Amino acid sequence: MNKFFKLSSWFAIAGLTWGVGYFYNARYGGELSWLRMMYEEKIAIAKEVQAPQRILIVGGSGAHYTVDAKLMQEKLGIPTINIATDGPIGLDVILPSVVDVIKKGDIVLLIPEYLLLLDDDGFGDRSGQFGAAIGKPGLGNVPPKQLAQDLMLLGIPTLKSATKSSLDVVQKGRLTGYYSDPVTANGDPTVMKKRTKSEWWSLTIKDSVSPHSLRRIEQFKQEVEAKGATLVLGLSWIYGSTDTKTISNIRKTATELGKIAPVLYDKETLNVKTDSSLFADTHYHLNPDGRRTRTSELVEQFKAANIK
Amino acid sequence: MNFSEFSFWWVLLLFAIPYFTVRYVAKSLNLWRGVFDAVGLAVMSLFLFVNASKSSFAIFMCEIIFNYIMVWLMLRQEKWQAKLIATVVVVIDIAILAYFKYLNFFVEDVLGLVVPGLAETWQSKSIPGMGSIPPGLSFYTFQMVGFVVDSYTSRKKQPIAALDYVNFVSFFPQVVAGPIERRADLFPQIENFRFKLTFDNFESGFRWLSLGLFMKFVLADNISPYIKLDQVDNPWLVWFFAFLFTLQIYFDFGGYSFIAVGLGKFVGVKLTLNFLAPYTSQSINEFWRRWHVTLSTWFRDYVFLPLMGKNMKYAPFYLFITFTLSGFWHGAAWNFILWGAYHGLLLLVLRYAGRPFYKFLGQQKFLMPQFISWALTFGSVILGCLFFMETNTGRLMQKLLVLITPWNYSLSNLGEALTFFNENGAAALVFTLFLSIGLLLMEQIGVWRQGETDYDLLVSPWMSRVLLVLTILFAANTPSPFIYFEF
Repeated sequence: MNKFFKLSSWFAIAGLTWGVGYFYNARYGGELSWLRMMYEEKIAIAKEVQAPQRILIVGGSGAHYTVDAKLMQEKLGIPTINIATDGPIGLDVILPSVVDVIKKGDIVLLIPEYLLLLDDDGFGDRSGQFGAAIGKPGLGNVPPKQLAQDLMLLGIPTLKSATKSSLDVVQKGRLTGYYSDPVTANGDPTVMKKRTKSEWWSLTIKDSVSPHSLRRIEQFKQEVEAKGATLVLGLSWIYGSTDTKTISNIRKTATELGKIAPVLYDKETLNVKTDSSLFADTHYHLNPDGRRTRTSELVEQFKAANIK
Repeated sequence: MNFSEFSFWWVLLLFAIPYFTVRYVAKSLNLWRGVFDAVGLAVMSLFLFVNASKSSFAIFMCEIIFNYIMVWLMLRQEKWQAKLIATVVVVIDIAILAYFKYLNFFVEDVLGLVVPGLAETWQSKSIPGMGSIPPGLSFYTFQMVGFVVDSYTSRKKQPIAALDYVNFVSFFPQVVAGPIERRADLFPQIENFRFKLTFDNFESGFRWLSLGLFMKFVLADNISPYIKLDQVDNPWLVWFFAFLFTLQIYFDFGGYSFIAVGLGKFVGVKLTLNFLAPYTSQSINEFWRRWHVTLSTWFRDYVFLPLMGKNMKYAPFYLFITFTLSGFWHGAAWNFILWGAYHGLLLLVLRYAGRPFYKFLGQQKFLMPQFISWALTFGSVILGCLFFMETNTGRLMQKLLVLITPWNYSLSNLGEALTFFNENGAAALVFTLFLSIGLLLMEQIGVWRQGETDYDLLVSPWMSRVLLVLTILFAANTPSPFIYFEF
């Protein structure tokens, strides 16, 4: 019996430590926990805002940090909520994670970054863990092997994150993360991150939209329409290269997406910007000025497309 | 096997759960036969090998069949016929290794030196198997060669069952990256194999597994991202990155070896400890008795001693040759040859200048001779690691030049080195180094205590459980590839 307890202690210790790690990662402290909280806050806002017609902005951080939902609401007169989250969650998990809040009359504006559009399987680094963190493990039909691995890692805080959190406590007196800043009543970010580490370089788009992404967006369109809502697509603004390959890939992407739903973008520039001063910390994230300019342009495209 | 890949554990689990369930039920119904254990182990090992690398598996299977048939034949022959067969097998085994591992190097880097344009012409050709070295080839070739030689020299010429041979060479915890097991150590445990799934084996297995996982996933994988090979101007940084690599390679390979030991214990097989606290060594001689033990003894028994024969007076020369060959085994590149030769030279320096030096040190009362010996040894190992880590020969020479230029050790360069990492990065590195040095200190205490192994303290019930907790909390979520897999 003594030997049995001795052996069991391994599993008990592992389970208990994993539990601590899970709490840190998914509930409070780790990057995933802040993302989960932001998602839950946005979903709560979307559930709260009741109107015959709403605009829901969906995507990764390339949508979260680029559209000013409040400005759009003011210009279009339609309640607008930014429920975009994070690219590494993957298209196949992002889309089902917002389906529940879509209702009849809504206009769903999906602005997926190229990371999502070019992906071949629809899953990213956070796919399995995000689903588990929001209480829906396996959301988006994450393959069993990846899900098992992601769930295992969900209880591992990592030395790097633990050190960062410890420094946070010492320096700021609280834990912080990339998504830990509050969002507005429209789901917009309140703090803009600045690029500090490296110099700007032009992003190149090496391929066009993947067949998997096209199929998944097509399926999403059906899910949206089944709820009596309308799907509209948008191309991301990027600080990018204007080389022929990038331009050709974006043009092809826009054409393919256009076969599914209306696509909002500048036909001349294809939303490729060559001025980095509009951008915040990444090639997708805009600073407040950039977000206002981008939103005004989007509103005009919206009106021109005559979407109802 | 790549313990860093989730797919190893996934396949192991997917095989082990149904297999051991069937075994348990069949045993309770008295339907299980002992040989099913040996078959199960072989299938499990081969299954995991296929999962690790299909190309290497195909080569491995051909080599298993060839080696087994030849050893079977050899054991039925006497004198020169047996010797001939053994020679043919060893030559063919080494030729296969040479083809996959050294042909590119020989053509591009050796012949290419004298034949202009040969390297470019060679690279444009598509030759089967020249893409990358099949994982595990260097390790299982040596194990197979050792088996042939040991079988040839053994007094008992009893036939060997095919299943036992398969289990000997493909035993899943160690087939891909060692330890390189010898016939006398592993074969008796594998012959007529039976799983020994006891509480004691599991307890012992978990303790070694815990140490191995901690060394690999917490220490090696958290150190790895900090090593910047392209830093060539600042000697402080060159030394520091070589020091980090010295830690990384030990924790990486030591971690692998201890995970293998732990997995072996689970099924009741005792594998050889490949590392005996090497960084506690007070001489290069001692270092090589403690570092990658099974490879060192392999080279001693199958290269150095046969090379030297009765020419004892040329022992230093053969020692130098053996170490250079050992360096070449690690990789088909000049830097590995230089690394092997460097260690060979260090041993020669120790042989001829060591005694007077230690005598001088021993006479000093305030110099802490043991500490000085350790520091000199560790410093030499760090410098050696610079050869080992830098596969770009031109850059290696640049770094060596920077290191030997005194005015490069300026305060401004030191300042640059001290502020090289940002705040979060520096804090995480300091914490990783704190854990690393803590572990090395425990090894040192283990050496002082002179217990059963140098790791007694680290695999004690409490410490191993603490290491498990630290592994779960601090493991890197993006493991770096095992360094020794490239060899």
